[in-house]
This record gives sequence, C-alpha cells and structure tokens, in this order.
Amino acid sequence: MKKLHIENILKSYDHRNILSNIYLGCNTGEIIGILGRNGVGKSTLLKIIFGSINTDNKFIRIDNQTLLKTSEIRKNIKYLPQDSFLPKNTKIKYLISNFCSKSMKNEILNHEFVKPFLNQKAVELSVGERRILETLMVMHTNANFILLDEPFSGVAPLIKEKLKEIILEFSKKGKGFIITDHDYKNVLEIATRVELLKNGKLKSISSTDDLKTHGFLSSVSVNF
Amino acid sequence: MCLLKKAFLVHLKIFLIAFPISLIFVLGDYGSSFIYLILTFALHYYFLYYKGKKQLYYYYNLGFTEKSLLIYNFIFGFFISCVLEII
Repeated sequence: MKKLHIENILKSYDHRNILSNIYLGCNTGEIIGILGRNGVGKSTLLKIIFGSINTDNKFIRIDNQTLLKTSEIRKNIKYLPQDSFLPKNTKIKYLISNFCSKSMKNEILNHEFVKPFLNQKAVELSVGERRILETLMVMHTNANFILLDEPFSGVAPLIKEKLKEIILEFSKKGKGFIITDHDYKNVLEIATRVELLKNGKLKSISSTDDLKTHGFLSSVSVNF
Repeated sequence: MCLLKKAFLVHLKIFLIAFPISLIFVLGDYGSSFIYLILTFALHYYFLYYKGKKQLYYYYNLGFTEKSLLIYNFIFGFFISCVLEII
C-alpha cells in the first residue's frame, strides 16, 4: 500500500488566504471526498497538487519519495479536470493509444462502454459519454493516485451511477482517489473519508449533520 | 509510449500546417527554415493556449509540463528547419 502525502499547501490571492497549511493524506484504495462551497478553493487545491497552478508553498510525497518536479507528480498522479480535456478532432482509439499505459491499453480498448466509440471523434460524443470515457482513460494509467474534479457535474443520474461503479471498482484495484464535487450525496456514498474545505482549512466530516453544523447544508431539509 | 514519441504526435498537427507553408518559401528561395521555426512557435501557442486551452490537461496527463511541451516542439521545429535548409 502506498500513501500520498500533501503537506503545507498555501495559496493566497490578493492578500486573501484561499488555502492555508493544508494537509491531506490518501492511501491507495481510499476515496477521499472534498466538499465545499463555490469559490473556497477545491479545484485550486487539486490543480496545485497536480502542478498546473503555482503555489506559495507545497510539499508532496508518496511514502518516502518526495515529488519535487512537476513531471514526477504527473507521472504518479493523474487529474480529471472539470471540463472535457479530450482533443476534439482525433479518433478515440488514437487518444486512448497515446494516453493509456501499455499494460492497460487492451483492457480499455475492449471495455464494453468504450468499444462502440473507438472510431468516433471526441466531438461526436455526448457530455456524459465523454465524462465516462475520460474517467476510464485516467484510471487506465500507471498512476496510483487520481484527482477527480467534479466528476458528477452536468451528467444524468444513470451516468453518475456508472461513474460511481467505475470509481469503486478501481479503488478496489488499488488506486487512491481525491474527489471534489457539489453533489455531496454521491460523494458521501462512495468516499471512505470526507473533508470539508472552509476558510482555507480542511475539517473532517462524518455525517450530513456535520455538514449542517459547518454551514455547507441548510439545517432546514426539503424532501421531494 | 515514450514521451518523445508522444511529443512528436503533439508536433504532428503543427507540422501538417507549417511544413507545406514553409515549402512554398523553398520554391521562392526565401528563408523557409526560419519561417518553419516561427510557425512552430506561433502554432504552439495557438493550439495549446488559445484554441485548445481545455485540452492542455490531456497533454499534462501524458506527463508533459508547460516547459517540456515548448522544448519538445522547439526540438522538432529545429530538426525540420534543418531538413528544409538542406532542401
């Protein structure tokens, strides 16, 4: 089992601390959910970990190996951004061939979901289909840790169920996940640990009552 | 797939546009290699930071960084410029 340590993350915009001394640990096989209101810095945190946003201070290591270079981080950690990242006019089979690791390429090329789309271009797929495909691609790599930025946003409930199945399947296979999303119910359902990002700090969450206490959810519940 | 091979595939799109344009300058006996290098840089920024900004994460997930993408494109651009110079 490997452990990803994210330490001392510090980010400020215009003298305002967005993230202050964040510590986050993630074991392989673990799913960590990060919740928080709009603009608290959830996506920023993931982008800082992945190295696409510069920060005032950060320290990332896997077990005892410190990842100093961005290229080292990107070898060990993959990131699914909020928006679709697939180049639009290239056939899916070529995108997969370039993207996925040799050992896992055949697995994804023969996947029941991916197979019908192999000769299509990314632009021809629906938002939900693209989301599942991107999630599968990110997981069929050699990286042990995967960052998912709002994987459930903008997709139909059936697709959400499919995404959850995929995430759970790969966490059992030994990948560690850090997920941020506004869809807290789905995050709570699959996460082994949930943290709430508030005022630049992470707070552990054990139930929906904690979310109400910290002001993420309204204390008045509405049932349909 | 090694990073160099992946980088070539990233450069391929630039090559397909820049090479025919540069060939026209070969016929006119102008500095086609210089034109190719200029086009490499221009198309690098156009494709990665203007037209395909969202697709940057595809390349980042392949293992590239902002700097390495630029360096690889420059290396391929320089190599093809040399070929054009020989022509």
